Amino acid sequence: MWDRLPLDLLAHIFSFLPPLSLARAMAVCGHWHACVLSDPSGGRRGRAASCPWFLAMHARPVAAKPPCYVYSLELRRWHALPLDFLPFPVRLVASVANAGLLLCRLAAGSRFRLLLCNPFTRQHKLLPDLIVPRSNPAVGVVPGDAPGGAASFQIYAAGGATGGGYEPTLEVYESRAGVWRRAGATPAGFAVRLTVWTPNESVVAGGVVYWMTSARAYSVMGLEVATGAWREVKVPLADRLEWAALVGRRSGRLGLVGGCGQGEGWVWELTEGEQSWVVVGVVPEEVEGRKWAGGAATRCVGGDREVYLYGGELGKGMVVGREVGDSSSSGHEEERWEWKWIEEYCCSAIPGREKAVAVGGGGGAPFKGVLFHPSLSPSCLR
Amino acid sequence: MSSGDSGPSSSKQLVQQPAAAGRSPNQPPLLGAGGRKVIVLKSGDEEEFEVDLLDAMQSRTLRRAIEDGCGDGPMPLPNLTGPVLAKVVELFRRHRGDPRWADELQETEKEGMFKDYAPQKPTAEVKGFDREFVSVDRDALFDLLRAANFLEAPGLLDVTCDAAADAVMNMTVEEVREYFGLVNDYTPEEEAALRKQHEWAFQ
Repeated sequence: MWDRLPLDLLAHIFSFLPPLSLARAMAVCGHWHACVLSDPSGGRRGRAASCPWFLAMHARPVAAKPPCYVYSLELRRWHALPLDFLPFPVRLVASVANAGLLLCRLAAGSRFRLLLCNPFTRQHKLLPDLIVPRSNPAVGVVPGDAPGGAASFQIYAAGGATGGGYEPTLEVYESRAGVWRRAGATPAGFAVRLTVWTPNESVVAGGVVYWMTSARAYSVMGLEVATGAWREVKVPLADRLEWAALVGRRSGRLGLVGGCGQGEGWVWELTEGEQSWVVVGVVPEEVEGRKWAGGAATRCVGGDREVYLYGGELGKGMVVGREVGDSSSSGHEEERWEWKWIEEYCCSAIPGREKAVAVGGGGGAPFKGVLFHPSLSPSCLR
Repeated sequence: MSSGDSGPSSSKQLVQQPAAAGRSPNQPPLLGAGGRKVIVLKSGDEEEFEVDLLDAMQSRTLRRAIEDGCGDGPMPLPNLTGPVLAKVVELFRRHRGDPRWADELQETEKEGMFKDYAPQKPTAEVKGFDREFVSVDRDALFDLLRAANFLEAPGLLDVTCDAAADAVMNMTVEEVREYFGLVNDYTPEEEAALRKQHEWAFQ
């Protein structure tokens, strides 16, 4: 009788399943397979939506298209996802978190070209060329809100270098239209700073796309989506921070994680009106009895509740902070966070291939990480 | 059972003139304890349950039936057994005013009739009830899933589907087939290809 389980009911059950269970459900029978594929939301409700996955890719393209590595905090496991379906070597730029997609740029050649891919469905889509060719623009992803349907999003490309100088324009790619359009200006001062210091991930908060310049002293650049107005926001301890990254906060405000070395680190939140930064978390010097380096090589990505700290080399483990308390509850910042040490090496994701990966990772090849919600449904790239 | 035409206008009508359709004007509306309107649900095995009208509205199926004027006499639900219906009625009562599923009733709330549905944060007690509600064996859970699907009640659907997801979450493909009594309709080659495609999930 359950062979005829109504598609609606089955889809409702699937909406509570994490990606791992969904992948297995696809192998159960044809009916279930079709049901997983037909879900435009890609199963992102309830627990399935609660915790994003960490995905890491070689920051510099390595020969022979190595896989990317995903880690799920809930499953406490690494998985390797082959990228051999991509026609070109790529570098990870950002995640389109609401669509389960990765935004990458082609690694070869000087021409700047973006590509979207879903390593779970093994799909990819090459985006059209920008209207004004340029190299190294700042790239920002703005998720659209389309509850229930296939996710929509915008990709901003700001500034960048041209043959003789800096490109003072801004272009935006609309996922629904599939084309770039001109969207205003990137004043020279911003274009220079975003271009020269290779931009970090963008974070959207309160209708503003924020980027951080990735050289000291750190500084945050903001682009208000509705008006196209640019602004600069000062960074706390800007000249002392050895590492820093922007993160989205559950409150909808902008967050910043950074430290001055020797394992010290803080999580700040930007107050309304961009008036000041408030400390909302402290990264302890010792995590589960181990001191973590916290030097200039520290990389950081964060989601609504999680902060991942890792070195350029993943093989040395990661520190993950999870905000457990309510921001409205009183108490010390230290007590609102749970910090864990993730010992497992990503290379153990592929049995028998530890050595091959260790060569890539152990040789100092840096990784770049993003957080995203996996989607097993191909609808997001159709 | 009609569908699709039970928009805001008909709900409004219902609120202004509760359970009026099909009733002669001199008959009093059905009143339960405290003067609340109640309807009677009858299971396939002839058990009858009095349900607060507002609680029954959590089910789109019951709502449509009530709006079509079927709420006067006992409403027959032949595909639900007494024990299942008893559980469902209790859940509707516990979920009264739960903002997670009360959205659809907010429109009518403006009329001031559904005061009890003013959203209240689900209490730990309600969450505990939900957990207890689905702490049943497989066959009983399947019965509740069928009931949820038939009644189209969002809260009941969420609680039962979440439990079904919980049950299969860490199962192997073979265990899932066994649990749901499903027939593997793949050829060995097709299944191997699917496992290969999502190799990471089978390590």
